[in-house]
Order: sequence, then structure tokens, then C-alpha cells
Amino acid sequence: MSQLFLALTIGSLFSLGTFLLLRRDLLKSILGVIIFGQAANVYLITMGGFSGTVPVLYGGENLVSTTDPLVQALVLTAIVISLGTTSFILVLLLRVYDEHGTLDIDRLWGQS
Amino acid sequence: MGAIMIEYSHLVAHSPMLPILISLLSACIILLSRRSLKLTIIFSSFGMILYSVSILFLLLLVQDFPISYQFSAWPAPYGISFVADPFSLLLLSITAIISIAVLFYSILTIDAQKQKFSYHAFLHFLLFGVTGALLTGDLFNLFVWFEVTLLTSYVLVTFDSNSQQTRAGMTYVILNLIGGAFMLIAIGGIYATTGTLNLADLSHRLSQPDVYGISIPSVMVFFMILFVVFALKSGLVPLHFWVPLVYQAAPSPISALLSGVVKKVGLYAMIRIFFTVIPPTSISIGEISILTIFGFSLLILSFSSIVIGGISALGQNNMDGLLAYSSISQMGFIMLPLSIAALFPAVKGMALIAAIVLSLNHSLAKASLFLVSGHIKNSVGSVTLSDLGGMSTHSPILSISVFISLFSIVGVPPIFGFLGKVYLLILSSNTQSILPNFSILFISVILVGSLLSLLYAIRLWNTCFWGEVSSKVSTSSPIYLTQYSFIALSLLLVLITLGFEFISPLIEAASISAVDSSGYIDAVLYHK
Repeated sequence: MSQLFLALTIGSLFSLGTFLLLRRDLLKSILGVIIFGQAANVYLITMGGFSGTVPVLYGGENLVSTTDPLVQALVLTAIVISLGTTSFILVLLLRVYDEHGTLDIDRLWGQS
Repeated sequence: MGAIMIEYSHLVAHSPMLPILISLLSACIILLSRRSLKLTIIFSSFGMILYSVSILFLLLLVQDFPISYQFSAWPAPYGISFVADPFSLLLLSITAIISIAVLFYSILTIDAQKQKFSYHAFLHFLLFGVTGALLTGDLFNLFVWFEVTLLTSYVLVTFDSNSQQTRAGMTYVILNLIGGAFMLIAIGGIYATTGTLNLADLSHRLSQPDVYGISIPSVMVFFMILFVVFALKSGLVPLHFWVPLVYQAAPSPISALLSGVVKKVGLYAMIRIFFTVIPPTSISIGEISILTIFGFSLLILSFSSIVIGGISALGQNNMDGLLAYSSISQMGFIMLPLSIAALFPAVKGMALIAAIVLSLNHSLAKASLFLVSGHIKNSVGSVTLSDLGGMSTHSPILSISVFISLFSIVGVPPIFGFLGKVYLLILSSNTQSILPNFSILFISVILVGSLLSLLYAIRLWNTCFWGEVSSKVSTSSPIYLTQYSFIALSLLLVLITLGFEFISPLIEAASISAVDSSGYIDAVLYHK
């Protein structure tokens, strides 16, 4: 059940991202790119599977099987990178508006 | 005191770390010294010299077999590996050479205010990212280094933040963010199906897919997604439209660095993944192996890059645009031997040599030409073809340098680029024995592409360098010192041509190590 739910979530995130990406408004496109990236992150964390407990190893004899901690480390790295790029692209967006006075993609490229 | 002394054996043991440590440290020190222009320039140059020395040191250390380094001494498939082999070192040496020329040029031409405002720091961060990408032995780590390179290149491309740069930068950032998301999807999928991210371990597991229970169709899909991402990074045709925008908008030294170094990282990743990591035989469904799919896809992309890039370059009316489209077309020429290598394993060795020779030639020549274009922008004030004319009488030394680089890209004998084209043609005729119709196709596309390159090169030469001295050129103020940056690069092209017998062992070792999966696995997993 949770797998179906996750698959549907990831699918709808990707489709929402793609839909927003194809808009004429640059701000919406950027939101689309950000959602697309987040969808990739959610997808990445499902790649480790969901069997087992939280990946904290207690000492002693009764070691239990845990979920794969590696994907969580990967996602943390990916989230930090997307934080950097997201903040950069938002500042760049502001700068584009300052320079061109519009965020409409058609008008942006219509200017010489 | 004894603790501070660095012993030679430690230096050797940690040698693959040296270039990234040096570039990171110099970037940080430059950030700290941003109040003083003098200090910034001194630290930046000193860092660049140290960086080049460390690469030279690695080059002397790595003779034929790769050396690996484990971060924090975690054993191989679990920790992150760094691998230095002749192939990555050859590209690192080119990176160092071009960066020195670019740094020299930047110090002389970029505004003092901008140089103080972290320009040099980002230059070193870019080197940091490129070096990491070329040395890493881990797939996810490769993604991280790609992002480091891209983040710094976003900043450098939009460094002046004028209207052209913000617009081009936006396209560049959005495209690469989508590319990054796709790369994550591919990496996640590869991890889920094979259970490892270490490239050597990945190669080892892919050679015995049954033992490790790897589902072959899904692995093939994920590797092809990776292929698309690498094609985006190296600007092949359906994914090329960021190239002319960015190269025209970015400051010229940055365009030189992007076309000479950053683009080649995409090429490197493609060779590393599809020739070192993927074993030639085991990944296939029935008759169709992943290399066949890769080869055919790359064949179509490189054919269309050669033709579309060449035709578009002909229609450009400014030098930057012409160079940018020419670099799309040349990227097609560099990728063509790779697709031949994937389709015809019998000629693999020669195909990789052709790819590496063409790539070296393009890196040096295109970096030199972008620096020339920046130089003309500074002295004449315009790079529009109709504003220029008679440059050869006005500034003869510059023109000789342009002549060498431009016709080396076209492949006119006897300059270095000619060797690459000869290798490519011999290679295509060698496929004759395997599939006769194919070799005719290869040769005709190569000839059409070369003809197109010759045409746009002649157009650039005739309009800008021959003919009447135009009014803008005659009133321009000559700048002497910056000339040495691109003169050095084109002189290097001549020297490589003359001393090809000294360079060819390096190229040969690089091409052998690029396809040597077992050597790579042994070095990383078993420390042989």
C-alpha cells in the first residue's frame, strides 16, 4: 500500500514539475524545475527499499536489519546541492527581471 | 617540528588528493584576501602554479597503471575512491595548461573591481570541480563534482550580470538543473539494481550480472539516461542550444575555459562509464548489447552535431557565435570515433586514440580562439564580422596565432588537428572489412563536416583578417601583453605537432587505460 502511495506521489510530483516547467512565466518554470528536482530526491530515497528499521545500529547481540542508510546520505547531499542552486536561480531570476523588466519567456526572447 | 614535516612517502600516498586540495585551498585563501587586488592575484597565480606542479608530479608518478586513493582509508567499495590513471591525467594536464593561459589573460583584462570580487576564487573553485570529476571513482561523487563545476560556471557565466548574460545564464541553469535531476534518477536506479556506486565495483558486478542478480533491461535504461545527461553536458545536437547562448554571453576567458575544459568533462564521463565501467560483452538482451544502443545513439547525435553545427556556424555574423557553433560541430567529430569504438570493438584502440587527439586539439585551439575573440573585443570594441577586416596587416602576430588555431580545428595539414582527422579517416576505412556500407557513410559525413569547417574558417579568415583594414580596426588601440596567452596556446599546438613522437606515448597510454576495465578494478578493489 505504501509503495503504491509513494509511486503515485513521485509520479504526480514529476508531472506537476513538468507541467510548471512548460509555462510561459519564468517564475513558474523555475518552480517547476525545483519540484522536478525534489521529485528526483523523493525517488532516490525510495531506491533503498523500506524493509527493516531506522538505520541506527545499537551495540549488543540483537542487531536488527535496517533500511539502507546510503540512499539517505545521498539524498542529504542532493538536498544541500539543490539548496545552493535554488537560491542562486532565484537571485538570477530577480536579476533577469531587473535587466529585462519582464518574466514572460516570449517577451524575454522577443527583445533583441 | 617532526610532525609538520611532510615526508615524501606521505606525499606519494596522498598524491591523487593534491590537485583538489590545492585548488580548494587557494580558492578559500583568495576569498579571504579579497580586500587587496595584489594579494588576490599573487595567491591566485601561486595556487595555479602549485596546481600545475601537483599534476606534473602525478603524471610522473602514474606510469602505466592507475593509482587509487581511499578517503579516510575506508576500504574500496564502501569508501569513496579517487583514481588517477593516464587518461584522467592527460585531461588534467590540458586543464592546467588552459587554466594558466586563462588566468594570465584574466589578470590583464578583467576589471580590478571584478577581480577583487571573487573572480579568482570562482576560477579555482571551477578547477576544483573539474579536477574532482576527472579523478573520482564513484558514480554519486561524479554527480557531486558535476554540480560543483556547474554551480561555479553559473556564477562565472553571469559574472557581469548584463542583459545578455542573465538571459543566457537562466537557460543554462534551468537546463542543467533538469540534467542534474535526470542524473540522480539514473544513479538511484543503478544503485537499486546493482547495489553499488563505486565505479570499479560496478564494473566488476556488471561483468557477472547473474551472480549479483542484476536486471539487465533496467540497467540498460539507466545507463542510457546517463548517456543523455553526458550528451547535454558536452553539447551534442538535440541538446546543444545552450552552447551558443552561453559562449556568446559569458566573458571570453570563461568561454575559453568552458569549451576547452568543462565540455571535455562530459566527454571524459562518457568514455569512463561506457568504456571502462561497462564490460564489452555481458550487458545485452539477446543480440543487442548496451554498447550497440549507445553506439547507434551517439552515431546519430554526432552526425547531426557535425552537420547542424557546421551549417549554423556558416550563418553566424559574429566571431563568438561562429566559434560556439564550430565547437558543437567539433564535439561531433570527437564523439564520432567513440560511437565507432562502441559499434566495432575490433578498432577500439585506434578509435580512442582518434577521440583523444581530436579532443586535445579542440581544447587548445578553441580556448586560444576564444581568448583571441576577447582580445579583439577589448582592442577593437566589436567581434561582429562586418566591423572587422584587415587584421592581418594591423596585428600580424595575433593573426598568425589565429591562423594556426583555426586551421588546426579544420584539420589542414600539417597542424595537429590534421592528425586527428587522419586517424578518424583511417578508422572509418578500417570498418570497411566489417560493414562496407558503413565506412562510406562515415567517410562522407566526415568529409562534408570538414568541408563545412573549412568554409566557416575561410569565411572568418577572409572577412576579419584579410582585405581592407576597416575603420574600427585602424582606430583601435593595440594591446600587446594579453597576446601571449593565446600565442602560447597556438605555439603549443605547433610544438605538439612537431614533437608528436614525444606526446604519442602519453596519448597511447591514455587510450589504453580508458578501456582497461580489469586494470581499473585491480587498482581500486585489490590495490595492485
